[in-house]
Amino acid sequence: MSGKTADRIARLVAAGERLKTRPASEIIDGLADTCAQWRDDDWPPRYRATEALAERYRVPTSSIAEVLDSAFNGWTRQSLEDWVVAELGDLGALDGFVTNGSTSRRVVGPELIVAIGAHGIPTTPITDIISAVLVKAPVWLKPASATDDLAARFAATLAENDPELGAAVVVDSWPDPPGGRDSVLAAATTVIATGRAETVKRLRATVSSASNLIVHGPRLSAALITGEALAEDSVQVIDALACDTAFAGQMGCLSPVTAFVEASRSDVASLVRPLLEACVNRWPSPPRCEAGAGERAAFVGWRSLMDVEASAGIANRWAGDLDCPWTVVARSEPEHPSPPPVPQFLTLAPIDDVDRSIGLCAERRGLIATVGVAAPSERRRDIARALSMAGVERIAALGSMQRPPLDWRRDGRPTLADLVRWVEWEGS
Amino acid sequence: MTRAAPLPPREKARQEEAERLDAEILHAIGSGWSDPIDASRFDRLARDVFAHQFRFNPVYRQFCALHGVSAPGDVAGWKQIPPVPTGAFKVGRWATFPEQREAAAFRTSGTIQGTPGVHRFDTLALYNAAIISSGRRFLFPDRDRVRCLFLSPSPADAPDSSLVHMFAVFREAFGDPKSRFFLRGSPSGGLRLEDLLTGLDDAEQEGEPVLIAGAALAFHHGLGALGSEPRRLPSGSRTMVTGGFKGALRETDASAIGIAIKAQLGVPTDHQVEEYGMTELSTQYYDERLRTAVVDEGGQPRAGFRVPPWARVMVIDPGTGAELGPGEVGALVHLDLANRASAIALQTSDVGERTADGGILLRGREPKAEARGCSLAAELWLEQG
Repeated sequence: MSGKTADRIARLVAAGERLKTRPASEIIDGLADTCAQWRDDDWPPRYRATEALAERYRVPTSSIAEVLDSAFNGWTRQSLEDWVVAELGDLGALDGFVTNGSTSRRVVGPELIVAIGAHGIPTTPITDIISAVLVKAPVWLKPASATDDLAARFAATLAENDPELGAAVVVDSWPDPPGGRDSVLAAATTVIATGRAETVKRLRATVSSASNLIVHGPRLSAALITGEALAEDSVQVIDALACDTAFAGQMGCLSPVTAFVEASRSDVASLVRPLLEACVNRWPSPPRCEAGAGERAAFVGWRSLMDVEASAGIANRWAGDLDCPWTVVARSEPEHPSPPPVPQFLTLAPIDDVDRSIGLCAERRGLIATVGVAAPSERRRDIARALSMAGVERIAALGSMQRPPLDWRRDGRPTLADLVRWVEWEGS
Repeated sequence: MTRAAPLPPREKARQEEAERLDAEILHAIGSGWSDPIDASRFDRLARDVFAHQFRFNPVYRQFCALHGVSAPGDVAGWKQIPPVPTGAFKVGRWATFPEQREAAAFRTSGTIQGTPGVHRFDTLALYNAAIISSGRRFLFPDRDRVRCLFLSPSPADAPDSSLVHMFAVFREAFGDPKSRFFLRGSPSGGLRLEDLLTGLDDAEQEGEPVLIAGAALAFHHGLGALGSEPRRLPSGSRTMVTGGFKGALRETDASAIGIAIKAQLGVPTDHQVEEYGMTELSTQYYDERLRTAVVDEGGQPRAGFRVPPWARVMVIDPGTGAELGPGEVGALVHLDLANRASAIALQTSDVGERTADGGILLRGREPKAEARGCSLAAELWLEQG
């Protein structure tokens, strides 16, 4: 390890030590105050970030503002406190022993967290920063390569507001090779990453066996729309589905890739065009013909496959060709949710009854992050119960898939509670 | 004594036509590089195969109609044959022959993407001939037989795998009696490490050069399991790595495999052959570095995968379908005469470019073309920077 890297890691760990001496309420104040500033459209750092993200993703600032608001509106003093209490039982457990029956217990955050960012929604890495700092742990966030710099911008504002909190956060790529990456990973006591089994295996080979490795697996989401919901207000259903789908250009795993619709094939096909328009309105990125050769090749291959299916008598209806940034297809038969052939792509599938869609989700047990449901109140409980038994990790109302509460059990697991170490003090 | 029922006239015509085409294609494959099929004969044969598929695959006929080709005569040259996407092998039964004539079927790997595709054959004659002809030229140009150590399951364990079938053909045509398979069960099954170590030890002790062949992922795991103690495989040993050049592994990993092969096995870079193939094609492409090293000593291998005389690869603009020139990156369209019973023209999502001397350089798939966000995830974590 180079001396420079060692110094950076040592400074970060030392900042974490200082963090552990501060009351949790102060830390929440620092985080909440910074997030509050990010809720202000006119605050220069937010304004500049919005402009930069809009330029990067080639969408209007209003589309970016929706993404930022969705995250920062949820990060308030109260919600951060509630999150701690929901996962750790008591805010005081972060500061010292709290009595629990005959014993006392407290939690201790890791000495150093390394969070490896993935390509996705710009605000997602900020969640890693907030959760680390919340449990009084320093964090080295390694953003995905060639991604946006929102996390670094957030960290800079946190440092301005509260230098001690800021000192506990590094947002940077791996230090220079050779060994830069490995030295950071070797120093970590907790590593957070998102990836497939292959990634886990490779990470495990690099990360110390004593480290806590938290890997979030690949996930997909789906929507389930009942006949009653569609009949009652199809315009509202289309708007809600587009809201969930087009959020941040479908970059996150909470965006549905498939929507099961309890309706006839022709009724489902009639949704294609309005849904396409709604998605384009919400995230009007440049048309697909301006994408790289790989995306265009994949799309043309898919389009050609639609011709093959049409030739075989399989009637699909789709809209959104190369001149459009989005594609919506109504399949003639439902299939289990699968990664789309290209980004910004939604599949609609007719179902006779919801059991069919629940069965298809069950075929992807462990991969379905969220199902957004549009159903009358009297059916919601039964649907939720069946989806939970099918391995779905979260059930939300259609239109709110992108706004999980902070204490959402991502991948069916807690977030803060996964990070900390519990200490029991018996006979206190 | 009962006599077999006479074939319906249409089926009889199909069989006769298939046999005539196969004879011509086998001749072209057999002539290989020494007397390569000339451009006009290739064009005529390609159009004949297209006409055969148009006639005996009604779904393809309909597909062609959608693409403005209502009769085989509408196609004036092989470049105009409508290519089908690889996904077509997942739709119904993509074959020109009836089910009862099926001799073999290979399946694409079942992934999260869903249904596997099936490539069906009424005969493996063309497929095997293509395997042997290219194998002889690019992998075994200097020796009749080489001990083959396959980082794959055996044909009995993976009868649906085209890669495993290819290795079985290698073993039969070029292998020695100690040639073996070293993976359990499925292609993703575990490595028989002890057996592999024994196989490598034997080769070293006997001074017997080996071919180690497998998918890039199998090499990735196998080299990891072998440990860091370097071996020196006998001179003339070689490797064949397939996959991992079009998205399964990142380029950095593929290049790391080459470095590890040299460091851990002592196989020099000019004996590390890369192969590009897919279940939906009957023909494979290789680079020519080994051939250049052992046959044309002192020569410089040309860049890219070499396309055999009985196949063609076009690079097209995915948006317009226009053919691109050397150095321009686009989608790959393959024309494979050996795919007589399935799809002679195939469009893939693979992206690449043609070199000035006819080589094909793969450029992988752009990350954006894959599932994004959490489902793409931290596969880039190994990257420095």
